[in-house]
Amino acid sequence: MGSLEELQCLQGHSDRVWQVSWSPSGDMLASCGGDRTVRIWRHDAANPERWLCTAILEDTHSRTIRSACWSPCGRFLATASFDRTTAVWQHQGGVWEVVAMLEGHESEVKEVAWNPNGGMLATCSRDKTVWLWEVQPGHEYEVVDVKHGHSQDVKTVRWHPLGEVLVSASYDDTIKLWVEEDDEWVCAQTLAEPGVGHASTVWEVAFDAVGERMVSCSDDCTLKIWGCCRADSGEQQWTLLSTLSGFHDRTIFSVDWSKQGLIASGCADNAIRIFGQEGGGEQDQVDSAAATPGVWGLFMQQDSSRRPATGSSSDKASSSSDSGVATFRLLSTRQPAHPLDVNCVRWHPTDPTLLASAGDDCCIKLWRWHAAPT
Amino acid sequence: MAGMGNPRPAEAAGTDIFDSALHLEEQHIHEGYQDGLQAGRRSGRAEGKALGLQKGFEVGHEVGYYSGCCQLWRQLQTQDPQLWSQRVDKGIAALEEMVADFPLGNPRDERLQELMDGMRGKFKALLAMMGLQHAYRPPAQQQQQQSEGGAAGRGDPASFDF
Repeated sequence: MGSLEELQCLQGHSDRVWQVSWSPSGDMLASCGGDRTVRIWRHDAANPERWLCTAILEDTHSRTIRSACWSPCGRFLATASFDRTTAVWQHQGGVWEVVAMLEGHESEVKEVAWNPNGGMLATCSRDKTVWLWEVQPGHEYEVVDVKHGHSQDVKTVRWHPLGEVLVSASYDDTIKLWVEEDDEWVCAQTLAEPGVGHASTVWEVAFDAVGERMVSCSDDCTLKIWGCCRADSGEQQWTLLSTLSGFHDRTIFSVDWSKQGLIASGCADNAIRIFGQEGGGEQDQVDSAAATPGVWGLFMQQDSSRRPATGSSSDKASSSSDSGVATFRLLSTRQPAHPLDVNCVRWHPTDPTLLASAGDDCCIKLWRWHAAPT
Repeated sequence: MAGMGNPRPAEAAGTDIFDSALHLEEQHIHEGYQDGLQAGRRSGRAEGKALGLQKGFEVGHEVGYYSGCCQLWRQLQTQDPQLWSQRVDKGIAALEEMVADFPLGNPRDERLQELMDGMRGKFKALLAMMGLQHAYRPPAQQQQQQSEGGAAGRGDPASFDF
């Protein structure tokens, strides 16, 4: 149990804020949105508790900037736009400039993601493709591969923390996992079987700190927790561990997993919810569906659902597993977190109880998670 | 019924002289059904053939387009061997292989869509590597532009009527 305390509301954008992204060291927050700008926020030197806007990146994209992502070294920021391009910005001494423009997508670019070692960028678009770019010296970006496979708008791309796997999710309700094979990228797995995969658009995915589990959020109002097993051949095989349903009544647009294991979700009902695994205690077992057989028997998977949310703070997800790896409880609901849709939630990389959120209300909010004393 | 009496043993059942009168309606239904079936077969075959020709052309057109592009690029390469980077060279070779392996003769091949996707992706990646995105447009996109009323290509074969 616990609660979210609102620390600050960052205003300045003149249109909905689509995404926020923390720099790797956590000293800066980048936000982007419908006003075609990126804002960079930093601690106020005079008042370290407050954040202020220290830079506005504009006059580059001609349409909405949908996504912003920092390079692992923190020196570069990539921005993906509805104008079909992805820009790479470099900052030095407070000065920001565009060092590269990546063209190729045939329609709106929805997300850009740097791989963990900073050597590659992935982008995805409404044109149904995922593009992989390799970073070359001199701010050159070379296309490595163009992946078809999704049958609809690809909403998100995200890298596994170890960098071997790229995940994409789409309006076509599927999640695809891509791996490199002889200089080409292939779709190693598609998470989409009836009763297992999501029943509607998958908006975002997030990995836990070590990359053993993944959470996905969807227009079908559920969060799904996936776990990874390694086959004899060394390949990863992802299976469904549990489904958290009955907690959200509207589309879940964003999900993020903190270093301490908390899952935050941003929803079209204007709320932010925090889920966590708390050891011990009774668990509700309601309407457990038949177990989905595990590939290697490491986890006992159950696809479970519960009664419709009553809004009580004792709501629990009903799922069970031998090792409890997928037993999540709803710890807190902050409603309304924004007066309109919450588009993005992101945990701070080094301060595990600091959360940023972005909304259709043109604002960014900073939150502090207070766990209830045990 | 008057007049039935004992049927002659030599006659097979159902060849009674009154049968055609008794079962007139069923007979008409049967004949009508057969006629309809025949007519349906003819029109279905004609429609299927037209659709097959159209789809076949589209697939052949796209594969041929990629093949032509590869040939052109190779010709340019013989004139200037330093033209393309090694990565581009490898990419062209991969596309050539995909074109050669494409099962043009087997419309029922299950991998058709997957193979086509692979070629499209490789072609787009090559264009991006060469910096030629604006110079070329894959046929699928040309057709889309046409239907959306975009700029018409000159003599675009996709508009041929077969």
